[in-house]
Amino acid sequence: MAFIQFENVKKIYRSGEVSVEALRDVSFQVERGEICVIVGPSGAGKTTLLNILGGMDTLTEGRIRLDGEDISAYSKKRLITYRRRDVGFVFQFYNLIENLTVLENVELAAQICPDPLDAADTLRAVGLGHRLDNFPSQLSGGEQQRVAIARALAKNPKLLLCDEPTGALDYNTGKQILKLLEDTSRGSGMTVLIITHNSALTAMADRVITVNSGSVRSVSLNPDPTPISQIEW
Amino acid sequence: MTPLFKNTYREILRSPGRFLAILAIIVLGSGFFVGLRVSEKAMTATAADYYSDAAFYDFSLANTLGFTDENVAAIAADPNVMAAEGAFETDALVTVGGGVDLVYKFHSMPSAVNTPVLVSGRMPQSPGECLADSWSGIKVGDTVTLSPANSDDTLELFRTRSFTVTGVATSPLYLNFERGSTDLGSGSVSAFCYIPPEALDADYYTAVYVRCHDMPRAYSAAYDDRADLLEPDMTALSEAVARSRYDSVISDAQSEIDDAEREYSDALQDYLTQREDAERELDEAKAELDDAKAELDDAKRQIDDGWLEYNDSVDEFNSGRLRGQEELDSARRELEAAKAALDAAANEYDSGMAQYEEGERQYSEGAAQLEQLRAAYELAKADPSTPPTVLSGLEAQLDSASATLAASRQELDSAKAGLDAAKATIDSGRLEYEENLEKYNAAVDEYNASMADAQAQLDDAYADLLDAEADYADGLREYEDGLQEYQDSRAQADSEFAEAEEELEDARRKIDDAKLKLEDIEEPDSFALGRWSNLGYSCFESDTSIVKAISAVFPVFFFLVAALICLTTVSRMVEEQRSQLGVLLALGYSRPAVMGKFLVYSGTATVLGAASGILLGSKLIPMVVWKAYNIMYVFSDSIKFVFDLPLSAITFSLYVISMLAVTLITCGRELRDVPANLIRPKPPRSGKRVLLERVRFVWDHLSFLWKVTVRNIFRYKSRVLMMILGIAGCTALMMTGMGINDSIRNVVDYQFTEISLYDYSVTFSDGLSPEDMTGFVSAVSEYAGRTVFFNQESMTASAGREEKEVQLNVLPEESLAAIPEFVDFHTGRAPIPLPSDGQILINSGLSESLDLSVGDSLTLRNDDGESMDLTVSGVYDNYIYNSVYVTGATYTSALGREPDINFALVIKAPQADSGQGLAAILSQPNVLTSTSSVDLRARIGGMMDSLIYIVLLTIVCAAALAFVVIYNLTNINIQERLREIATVKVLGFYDPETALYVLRENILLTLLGAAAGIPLGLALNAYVVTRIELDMIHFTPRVLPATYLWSVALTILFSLIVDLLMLRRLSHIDPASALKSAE
Repeated sequence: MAFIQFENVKKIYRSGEVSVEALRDVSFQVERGEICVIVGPSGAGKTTLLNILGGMDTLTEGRIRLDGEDISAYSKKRLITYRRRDVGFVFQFYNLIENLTVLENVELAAQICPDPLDAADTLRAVGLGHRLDNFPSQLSGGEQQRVAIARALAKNPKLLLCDEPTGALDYNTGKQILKLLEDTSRGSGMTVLIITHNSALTAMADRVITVNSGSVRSVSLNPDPTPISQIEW
Repeated sequence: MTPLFKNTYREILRSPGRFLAILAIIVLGSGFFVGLRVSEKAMTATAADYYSDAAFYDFSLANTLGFTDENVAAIAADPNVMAAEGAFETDALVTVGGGVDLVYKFHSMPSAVNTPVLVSGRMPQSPGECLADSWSGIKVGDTVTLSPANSDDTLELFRTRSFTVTGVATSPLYLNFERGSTDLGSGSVSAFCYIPPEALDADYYTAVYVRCHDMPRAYSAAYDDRADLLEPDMTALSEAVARSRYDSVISDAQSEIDDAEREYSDALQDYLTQREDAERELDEAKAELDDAKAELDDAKRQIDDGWLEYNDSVDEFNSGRLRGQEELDSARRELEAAKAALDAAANEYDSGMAQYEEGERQYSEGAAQLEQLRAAYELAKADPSTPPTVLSGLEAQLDSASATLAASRQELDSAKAGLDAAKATIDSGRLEYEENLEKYNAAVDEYNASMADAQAQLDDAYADLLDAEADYADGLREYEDGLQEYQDSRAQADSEFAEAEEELEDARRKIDDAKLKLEDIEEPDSFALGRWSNLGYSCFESDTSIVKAISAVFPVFFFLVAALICLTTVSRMVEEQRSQLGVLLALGYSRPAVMGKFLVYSGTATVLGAASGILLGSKLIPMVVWKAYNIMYVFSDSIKFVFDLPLSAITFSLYVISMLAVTLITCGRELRDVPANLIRPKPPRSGKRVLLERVRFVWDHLSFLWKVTVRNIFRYKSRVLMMILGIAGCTALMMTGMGINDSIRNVVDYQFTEISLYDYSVTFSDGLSPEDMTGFVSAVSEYAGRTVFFNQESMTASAGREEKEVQLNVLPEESLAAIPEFVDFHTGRAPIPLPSDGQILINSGLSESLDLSVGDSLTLRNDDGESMDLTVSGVYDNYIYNSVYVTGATYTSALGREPDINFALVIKAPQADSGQGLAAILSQPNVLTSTSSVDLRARIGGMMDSLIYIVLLTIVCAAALAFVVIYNLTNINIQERLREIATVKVLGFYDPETALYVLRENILLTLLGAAAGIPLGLALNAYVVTRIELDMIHFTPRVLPATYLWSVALTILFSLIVDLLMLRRLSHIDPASALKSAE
């Protein structure tokens, strides 16, 4: 049984007369501990896919299983619990709480989890041990993203979902972030899904899912992923 | 339509909520502002219109003698007077529809001044018809009947006893529900009633109502000034008329007395003459009667003699008769004896004869037998067989038989001879008897005849005597009749004389009394009273003053808050759309053009809002206020629509200018930036350490989420400040609204339960002597428990340049001990002692208006120019009237005379009925007027009742304000932190947790705002309450504990309601779409 399983997932947005098929009959699998990169052009449906997987949105048809559980049948409340416990999200624009320090930001997420990791330790693990009492506005973009990752990690989730994590970062910083993600996955066996439109990054992935116009064009396994430090673009 | 304009237009349509919110706030703010301000004007205008329709009087003239038509004409001739009309008013008991007796005040129907305004039906046209009070519930067709329980004096004033209601009306004399008090029945008048003048049988008017020339509108300052100007003239006019009335009354009375004197002496003269004549006649009659009596007596004597004679004759006659009778009787007896003897002899003879015959027969028989015997003897003899004995026997028998027979024969023959002799005697005796009998009969006849003669004579004499008796009896009767007549006449004459004398005495006495009374008629008191003396008029004035006071402050507050909210909303909107601004600038539109969009947006909202708010407010708020007051004032169902152009224009401009200014400033600020920057999203405000963080002790104990909240508060200072201000304002408004109620309503209770402990205040028409006082106390003892007498005068108090009318109460020595039972002097809880010489005790209201405290001096002045300089010894809490107190000694030493006792306070007996007590007091002859505390309390309390609507209105508006403020600001809050909220949701916060995350702020700010609102509310309340200026009542700002609780509780409640509404909004935030980055 695959860790993540998408079965014939359809997502249709309806507003009045207009209906948009964001996902058409998407099916794929992801194994535990994999780094899975989802590529595709803008508007392909990548974010939608991730959102549904992350419990932020619901599908119209089909089924999604995570670690054997059918999350597509979850009620709204159950979805929230699912998000709480099982999912860690990393956004393109970090979305840190400006009013809380770095440490508090991570604590905020850790507080609501049943089995969190220590916030300060997680921050140190991402290399921000010296910035614990600073506010996000006092951090650079990369540092902020690292905080976001720490926040997601502290929750001790089953999987990490990253939506264009390097989109707002420069080349070098982006690479650092990706390294962090790579280390997390390789180091702790975390399943990481990364959405990007940069096809160069597919080299680091164990599995590459190509999405175009709402459908999965291809799912390819990469038996020998390249460490990010070796990838140039 | 240019695209730019379309943009604006669509902007409005797309987010109608925001546009409408601004619109709503402006409508509320401007409407309330203008509406309340205008309410007072509208109320006044409505009343003024009513008064002018009803030709309400300017002055009422009254005096203690009344007015005649000439007096009215004299008044009307005064150059200041436009119209004058006499009115007759009287109270009477009536039964309506067979119920309990009520007291009605009847008015003669006026035609020129104070004309009633018809509500339904028609005016009465004939004496049996009347116009009823619209307040009383009587309908057209009902009948009002004067109760037979009325005094004769009252009933005599009316020509008919019952009236049919032809119409129902309101009267300008009775603007509110008060109908006044009376000394009849229950003590208060139930309703008024207008009847045609022809229905009244009085030849004077009780008052004259006057309308003057050139009087400004009612209730305006100009009116009051002109009325003050005219008052001395009116007073002088009233006095002049009263004097001429007095003179004419006196001279009329005098001539009547003179006439009466003349009549009296004439009558006396007649009486004396008539009496003489009568006496004479009676004496003559008496003499005649005496003569007649003498004659009768003579006659009587004669008759008596006659009777004597007659009786003698009768005696003689009787004795003669008796003798004769006796003789005749003896003769008869003899005759009868003879007859009897004869008859006996005859009988003897007959029996003898019979015997003889018998004997003869027997003899014959015997003979026969002898023969037979012989025969038998012979035979026997012849017969041989006969025994010898037998034969001898037979022979013996025969011999005896023959002997017997022979003896018998002899007997028989002698008997026969005797019989024959007897017969011869009898026959001769018979003859004698016959002769005697004849003689006897002759004697009888003779006797009878002479007896008859004598009898006849006697009868004649008797008859004559009877006649004489009869004549005498007639004569006697006549005499007795005559005597009776005389005596009757005598008695009648005597009684008539006595009567006449009595009447003459009465008349004498009456004339003397009238003379005394005439001397007693005092010169009349006269009055000229302005409109302020009419209860309805001044109550209305007080009420409008309250509305005016409230309207001074509240709306300003609303305006400020509304302005603040709009400022926030618009600046938010501008900030949100900064990227749009940037784009437009980048496209090449000029700054003004770009700003134009926002100006149009806010401008449209403001213009529409202000215009509709002002119009709606001017129309609706007075209507609401009127609804509250119309319960007490029924003269008009609808309030006049008053549009205050200056006020409206100012308000309109104020709002428009301020909104546009805000928009300009906010826009301008943003637009100073470079377009590129505008297009980029605004970097979020950086987090900062808060001061509180340094207080490690507190900070460490705060939960996470509280830390977020605290930091947030300090991060968005302006929004937070706005929220606190808005909530504080809401709390303050509610506190003020309820606080006004507290300060005003409870004044009445407080005054009458803790300060004025008496039940009645009584004003007397003159100074009372000690006998008057005891007389009064015993007269009303059924209703009055305790009474204290002192002096009360109106004075003007002045200190510096300020002046105030006060009631000066002068307490003589005897009243000092008792007065604290009737008036409790205290301030707060501390009691205040009575003043001593040279000192004065003043009430709190006066001390505030004249700015006096203990130890300051003030001057009291009266109309006669006398004055007293006094030092304030104490200030006591008091709310109603300006009542100040000095001792009698102070008064005497200042003015050089003793104070008149013309006032009393009465505490009623327990269980006594208040209304009847009042009636009893009013019916005392020396009482000028009296008020019961119960009535005063009800009257003032009634005035305050309408306040509850004002308070409710305030609370509703405050609630609306709070609602809009919190809603708006929370909305903005959420808008600003949408990403943050979405992130938190993504992190897995449940909906309640997410809500709390956001709304925790609201809760904290609400509590802070409410706390801040309390002192604000206290200040506002104090300001408004002190602005309410009523002549009679002085208010102290008070806020009851309940008000604090309610204000804060309601504020929190409104806040919670908004938060609940926000919950929905929050739960609908879709994290996915919210986090879709601005790429």
